Amino acid sequence: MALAWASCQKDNQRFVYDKLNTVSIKTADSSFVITQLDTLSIQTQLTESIPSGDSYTYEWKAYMVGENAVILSDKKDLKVAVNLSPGSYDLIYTVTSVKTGISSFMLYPLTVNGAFYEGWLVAANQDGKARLSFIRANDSVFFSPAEDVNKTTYPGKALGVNAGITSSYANLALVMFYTDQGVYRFNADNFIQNGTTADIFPEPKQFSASCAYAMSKIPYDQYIVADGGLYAGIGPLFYPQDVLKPYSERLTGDYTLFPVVINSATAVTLFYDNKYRRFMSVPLGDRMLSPVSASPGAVFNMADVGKKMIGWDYGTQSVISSDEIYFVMQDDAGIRYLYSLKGATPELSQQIGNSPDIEKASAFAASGVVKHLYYAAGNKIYLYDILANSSKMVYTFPDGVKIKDLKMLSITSRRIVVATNTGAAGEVYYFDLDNLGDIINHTYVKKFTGFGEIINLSYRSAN
Amino acid sequence: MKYLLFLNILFLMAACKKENISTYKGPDGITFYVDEYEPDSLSYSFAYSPVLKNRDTVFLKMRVVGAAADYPRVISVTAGAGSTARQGKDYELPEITLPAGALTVLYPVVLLNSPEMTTTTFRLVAQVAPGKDFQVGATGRETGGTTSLEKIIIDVSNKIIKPSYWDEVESAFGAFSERKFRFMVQVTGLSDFSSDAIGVDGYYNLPVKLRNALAEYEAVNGPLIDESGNVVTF
Repeated sequence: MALAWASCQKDNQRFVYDKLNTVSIKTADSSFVITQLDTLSIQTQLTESIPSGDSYTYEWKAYMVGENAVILSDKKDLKVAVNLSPGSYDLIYTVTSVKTGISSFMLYPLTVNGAFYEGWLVAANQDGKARLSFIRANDSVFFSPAEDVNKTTYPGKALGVNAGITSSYANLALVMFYTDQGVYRFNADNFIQNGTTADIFPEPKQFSASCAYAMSKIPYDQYIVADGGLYAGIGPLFYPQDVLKPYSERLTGDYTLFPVVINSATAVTLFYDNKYRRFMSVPLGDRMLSPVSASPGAVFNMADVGKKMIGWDYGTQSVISSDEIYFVMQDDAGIRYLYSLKGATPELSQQIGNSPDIEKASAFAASGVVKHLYYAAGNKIYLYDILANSSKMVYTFPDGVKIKDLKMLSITSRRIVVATNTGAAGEVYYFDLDNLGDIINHTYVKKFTGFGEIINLSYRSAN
Repeated sequence: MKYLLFLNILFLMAACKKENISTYKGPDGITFYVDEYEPDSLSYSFAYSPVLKNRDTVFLKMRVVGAAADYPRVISVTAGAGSTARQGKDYELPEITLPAGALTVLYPVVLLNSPEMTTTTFRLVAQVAPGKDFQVGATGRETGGTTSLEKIIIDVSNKIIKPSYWDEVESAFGAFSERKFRFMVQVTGLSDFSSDAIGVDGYYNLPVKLRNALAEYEAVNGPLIDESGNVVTF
């Protein structure tokens, strides 16, 4: 009875509140970008709300969605060689009071780039061997990364290099390097070789010219155009585990394709047949190469172009099916024309007029911002204004220098990159462009040497 | 009391009498046998061979029920009741020799690709034939999980029937026909085109291989026509 009486005692709800010590964290930067295996150093400044002389524990943890968190350090300041896979992480810093158990947190975006995260691939011949070099976006040059990583050399003559990168649906980053003795495939992040001719093609194959390699716009398929034939492989969209499986045999048909994979549309991937001078297509996820249907009323008939393709480049690009791609065509009289497709629809057809040396042009690069096409002939670079249908010379290399390749840095369309050979000595130049498309200060901004005789350039975009 | 003790001792002495162990004595036997999850009959079609075969050999496992001998012994197999296959036309059952000391052997059943097999399935009931060295051995399951059998049924033909998995690969290879399937076997060297067997890459790559082979065939022979009069395509 007494206990029951006591249990009904009124509680006056009076509490005593004490402020506890908390820690605020400050760092010089609020996000970090690091190259894989480089040392990440972050100095922290910790301030106690009530100076108390507490001791603390620390934790630096990196977390990527879908992956297990990785603890990088238990020190106050971070200084660690980052061995995380390339990608985007949340870097979480935790400071915990030993006395009270109260933790303070900071979250930083952390981007880990592969050692070869972005830059220009350079295929060349040097010392009697094929050589693949890489100019990283930060201007570091790796002259033979594939040879160094794989502890091998690549015999024969280089024919070309290109890269296929997609991160929209699955992380696939591959580099294809072609020689007259075979093709080699590398992981673009680290140049580890993951395939040779025997792994990629179902039957033994020799190459005689540079090949095209790209994925369909929706990366369901991979394509290689080699010596006029089309070979299809599985893309990373639905079957990422099968992307390194062998490609098909040469797709059936009577054709000789120009080395380009036209992935400007989502439903089909287009190709150009220089034998019958017409566009051909393969539907997404299919393995049938067929001539496209006639396009009466369009600016040109894709089923019967009647001209030989000699060059191409991307114009404006988008995520939907409306990329514009330019094609330089030549008729039997040697007259050159500029065509374009927007998605899979004819957009432009005009004879290239008022353009010096256009008949000798061997490399082409288009702007993705304005209607400009650059072309190289001999040692000269010209700017073709598509709307005005006329060209002007924008740069001349010294006599004896031959321009081998010309590419646009398409992510900005504000830089053209030029590969030259003087005899067997190859060089790569960066030219920055102003708003009118002219070369700023009429000279290059960077020059890289020591590549051997360059065959081609290809951009390895970021994952 | 002492008489009772004496009788007990007497009984105990009698209880300890040595008894000889009985052992089996009789003619040696031989049987077919299969492992625990192995079927006791099989089907064979010459149609699944990538190259044309006039004869092929199927091996059946046999084992002795009895002791090993220090001399070779003869094994005979015959066509048992229920057989429709014809000796010398559809099959041959050779007499073989079991080597001295051996207890198991693979018996070769020779199957012959007779013209009638394109339309008819023949049944061969392979059965142990008693001879001078072996009788039909005891049958049944032994403790190790294998099963001894007196006979094994072999259905043999040169026919192709639409595989049960065809619907799942029809989008890759098109409508089924026996002629198309024979062409696929001949070109690829495969006889199982199920998704599990060919994988994703096979699903996409094999039709290209078949189209190329068909184009070569048509260049020489004209269209490939199936049993229903339709042109074969991939």
